[in-house]
Amino acid sequence: MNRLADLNPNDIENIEVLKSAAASAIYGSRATNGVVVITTKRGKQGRASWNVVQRVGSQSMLKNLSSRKFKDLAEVTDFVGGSVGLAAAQKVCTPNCPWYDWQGELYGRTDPSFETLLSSAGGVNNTRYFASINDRQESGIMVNTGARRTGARINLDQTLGTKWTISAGVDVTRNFFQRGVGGNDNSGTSPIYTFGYSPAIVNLQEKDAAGRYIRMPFNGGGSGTSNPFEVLNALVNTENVWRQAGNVRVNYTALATDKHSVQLSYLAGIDRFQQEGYQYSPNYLQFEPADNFLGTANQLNASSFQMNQGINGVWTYSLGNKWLTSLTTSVGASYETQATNLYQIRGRGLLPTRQVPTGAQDIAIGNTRNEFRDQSYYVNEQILALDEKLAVNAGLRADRSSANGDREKYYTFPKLSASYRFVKPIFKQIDEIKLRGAIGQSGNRPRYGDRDVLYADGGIIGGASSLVSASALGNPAIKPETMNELEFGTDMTFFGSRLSLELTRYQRRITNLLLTFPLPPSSGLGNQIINGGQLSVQGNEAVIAAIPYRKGTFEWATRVIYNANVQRTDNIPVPAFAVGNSFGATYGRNRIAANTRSTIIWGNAPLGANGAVRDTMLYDSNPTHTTTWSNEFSWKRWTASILADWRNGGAVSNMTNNLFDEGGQSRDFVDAGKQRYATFAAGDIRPYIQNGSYVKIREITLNYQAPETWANKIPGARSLRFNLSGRNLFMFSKYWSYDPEFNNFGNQNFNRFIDLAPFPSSRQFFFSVDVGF
Amino acid sequence: MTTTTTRNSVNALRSLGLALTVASLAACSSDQLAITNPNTPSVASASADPQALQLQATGLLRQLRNGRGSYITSTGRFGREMYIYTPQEGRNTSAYLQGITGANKLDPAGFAVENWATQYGNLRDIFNFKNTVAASATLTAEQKSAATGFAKTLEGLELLYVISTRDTLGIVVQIKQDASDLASFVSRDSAYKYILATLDEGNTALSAGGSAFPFTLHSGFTGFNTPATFKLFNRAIAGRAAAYYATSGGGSAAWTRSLAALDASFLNKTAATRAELDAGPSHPYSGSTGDANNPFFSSSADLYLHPSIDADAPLKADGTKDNRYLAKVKTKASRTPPSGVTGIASSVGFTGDASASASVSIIRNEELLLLRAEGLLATGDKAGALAIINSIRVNSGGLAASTLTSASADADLLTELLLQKRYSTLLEGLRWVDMRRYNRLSQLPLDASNHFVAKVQPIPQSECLVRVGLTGGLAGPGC
Repeated sequence: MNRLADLNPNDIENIEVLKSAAASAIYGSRATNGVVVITTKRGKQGRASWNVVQRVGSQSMLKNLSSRKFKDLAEVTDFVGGSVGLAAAQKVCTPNCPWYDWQGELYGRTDPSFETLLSSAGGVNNTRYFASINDRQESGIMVNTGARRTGARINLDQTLGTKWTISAGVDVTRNFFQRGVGGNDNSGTSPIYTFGYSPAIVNLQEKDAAGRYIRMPFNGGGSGTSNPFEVLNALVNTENVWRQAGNVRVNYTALATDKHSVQLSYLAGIDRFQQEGYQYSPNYLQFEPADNFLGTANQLNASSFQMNQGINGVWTYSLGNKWLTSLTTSVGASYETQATNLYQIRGRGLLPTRQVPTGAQDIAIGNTRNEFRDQSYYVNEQILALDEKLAVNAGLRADRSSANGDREKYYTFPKLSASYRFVKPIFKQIDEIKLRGAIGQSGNRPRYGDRDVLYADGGIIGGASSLVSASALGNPAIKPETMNELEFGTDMTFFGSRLSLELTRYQRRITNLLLTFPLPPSSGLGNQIINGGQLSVQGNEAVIAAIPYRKGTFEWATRVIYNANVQRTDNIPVPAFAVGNSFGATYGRNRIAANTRSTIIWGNAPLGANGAVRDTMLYDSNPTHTTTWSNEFSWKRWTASILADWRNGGAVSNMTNNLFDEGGQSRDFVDAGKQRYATFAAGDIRPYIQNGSYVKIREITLNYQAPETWANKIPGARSLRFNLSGRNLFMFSKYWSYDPEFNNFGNQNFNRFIDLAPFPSSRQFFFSVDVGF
Repeated sequence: MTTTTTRNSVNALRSLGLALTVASLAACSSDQLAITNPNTPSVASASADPQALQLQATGLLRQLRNGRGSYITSTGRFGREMYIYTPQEGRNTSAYLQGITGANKLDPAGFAVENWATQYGNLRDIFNFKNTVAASATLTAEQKSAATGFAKTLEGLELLYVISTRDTLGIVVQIKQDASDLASFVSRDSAYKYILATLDEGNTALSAGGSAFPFTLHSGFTGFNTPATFKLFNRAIAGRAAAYYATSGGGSAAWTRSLAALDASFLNKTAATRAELDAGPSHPYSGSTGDANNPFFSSSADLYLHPSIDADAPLKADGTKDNRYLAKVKTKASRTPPSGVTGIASSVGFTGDASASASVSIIRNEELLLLRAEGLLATGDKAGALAIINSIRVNSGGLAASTLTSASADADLLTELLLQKRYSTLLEGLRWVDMRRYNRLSQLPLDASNHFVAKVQPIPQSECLVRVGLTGGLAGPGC
């Protein structure tokens, strides 16, 4: 579970992103996709410093999809969904129909957001500390949505004599989210879903004599639909997370001479969180009778505990020699465990106002636990030579895990990297040219339960429980998949570091893929887990950084990052198959097929013989490139920055558009939507596989470092800074729906291109004052 | 200088060695990695459990029930008995009534591909169950025979569900030990022969099964829970299967076989009361945690009957509607087809959707009577067929006897028989199959010009994808 949201960004000293081979050498078998190393701030010797930041901000919807504007009763009659809807339309269309900006009203909340940060750092004698507390209240653009994070951290460093140092840190955070409702649903609960099928000709904010919101009259006016304004005001969907993390590191300097240094260290960390999800839907909501149970309460709790311990030894041998500068040898071992326990109680059919599942007419209970345990060793040699121009690094690690079929077996992963710097070659304008290359392997361990051949709980019938075959066939011989990485490139700097250029070519090949491939349904099983096949990514990355203008105190720094890659399935030991967790050929999904780009969207189109509909390759969901451009301007006490992202290409399955067209409610229904939907209904998905290109202005900030004389007006203050920032400010895109970046299935490797009734993206504005004492 | 360097190097290596030793002690124990999965039993551990046979037998009946709801609601939509009018999910309607627009074809990668994976899922467990029984060291020969007969009866029934929806496309009848080893498709004719043979083998095994099963059956099998009484259920399924085969190339020999099987089943020829007509095994449901709710109850909000059920209902002597209609049909708030789907509104509801714990029958005496009437009609005994039709009209519908006589045309008698079967077995998964068996699909009403009546359900795309590039039976005629 990725809980990056639990971190206070102000506590972060630096973030380092390590890509696969480099990462796995240190961080082991789960580092195949790279590692993000976040270092938190630590205390410094000297006088205690204090910092207070107060921020206040607001937010708004980034894009409004709008909806169809009906002229008169005759035009809307086909879209009212029955007699209740017709009566409602007849009442308001006299004869011209009004139009209400439902999305603008529902997602138009601008309540303020606040954030307060307080931190202090300092140190006396052999003790140093960093402490911080923070509280952030963020409002969502929809009523009853938002988040609040409250946390505190202490980092301590203690030196004992000359040889021992002990560091420890504790972090406690509470994160509370009000999520609202969005996404896929066919039950009339999700607002975008409902808007897509209902003509916006009635005022949904109207209330009846009893003070209740009016019922949605369209789509039959019954329990298959809802009034989103009522739903959002009455429905509870929250998540409450308490997280505690702690770490300790003991370092012993075993040897320290001019030429030799040996450091031994022990480090341990724990990370525990309790996540409480809770949903409550009161009995009177319009959609509640749909399942024959009025009122639903659902409690979903997860507790997680992770622990790691490691021991390392590092010997640095500094020869101080022109030919051989230093040799650094590291060895170490680690042991990690991760356990989660998930439990859920859902009650349907609640007593009025009762918000817990107890005593409900229909109760469902779930509980699953899982645990991983991993052991590993590593050895690494780093050589710095030829006047520090040549650096060579070689390493080997061995991992074993409770998730592997053979739990006793160690899997080893070697790596090797080298770089050489040419200083002031050819022209004096060239500061340095560095050539670098790396080759290495890392592993990705199997998922929990992949190794187990299990029965499934068949459920209860006539009061008796049952055993049936599990749909997924486990594999007792399962082993980690192997990532093989090859990367080379060059880094160049020119004109006294005013211009730099980094070029990288990378190739990642995953072999022994962990495949969950579908078995023929006629075999009676769903899928089988095996190792086999190869997936590869080849890409190019270029970074240009420059200071094009510098005069006096004015400086303009700019940086462009370009990335393009191609992802392919090279071969698989089984027939081509459609990746699970998608919506089928009607809406497009990825397929794993040998010698094919794995990001291609396959779907129905009349491309067979004689125009027969067939499920075939259509468009690539992978963009041709992504480019990021950042600029920073500084002048006297002012700094300003702007960050823009450009994604060129990348097809998206726009099912939000499909909903609005199916419901006859798209803003361009008459001109285009009707035709799009007719094409789709004849088995051609192509009108809804749309280009997801965009340019987004991610962030603009303006910073003013006030003169000390201003700061001194605050008793005790030494520095004062003002900041105005906007995030996600503009999007330039021809894309029909809210945001081509949205993906219905969240963070997974395949089918990352499906846009279905999302929560709209928002832009945010913040003003902050930062005072240092 | 050199000596010092060497000594320091040795010290450094010693320190590293120490670190490594400590690390090994801390991390090397492989016992720490031996953790068991607490969520579900492994096949190895559960098979040895004394409860295993009972749990597996219950599993077969649990899975048999899993397919029942969607069998009825899918064939019910093809056969124009019902709709699932979900307002914001048009595919619950369009995928069944329209298919791919203009192509008169259902989408093999779409919604209407049920009655395949669920049935084969149970067939896999039936296969495992038969192997477990055969290998058992604790069961007596009689117990083994009883258990085998039980499994083969269920095997025949599950395969009958599959072939009756795929018909001319053919199906797979074999389960292989290695699930990735593809089994061949067989023709409709071979499939029916296999099903009838399996049911007959089951019958023989049950005959040699002694007085009791080595496990208990749920309450839906009350009256059918010993080898001797379960045989009556086996013969009922065989009667249905042979009748289906008779209209699918089996001809008069199959009709004879059907009539013989029905005679050996729980068919009660003199049934007159509702209870007697309803006799037969059923699937129980309940609201208990871990159990399932009645499938009609679960979809009751969107479940509508086709308006023709109302229009075509026979009238009693007093001009009111048929008793079966009165018992099964109710009026509910009118609903139009979902947005984007053409069709007609319905305000006709099904009374079977009112209770979460109402049972759903597997096969009833009333169907057996009508199957017997079909057999008699097909084998020339019009008077016998008419007598059954009239007893159903009177006892089940509260109607007067038919005006038809044994001199009436076969086609007219069949029309009357199918009308009675339509109301007697409304939403029991029979209508669409019957209309196809007698080449009458074109008589089913179409609500809109872009609707069509599917002749067969497609083989799911997931089944065909694994067979791409293969030939013959492995490729399957339906893919």
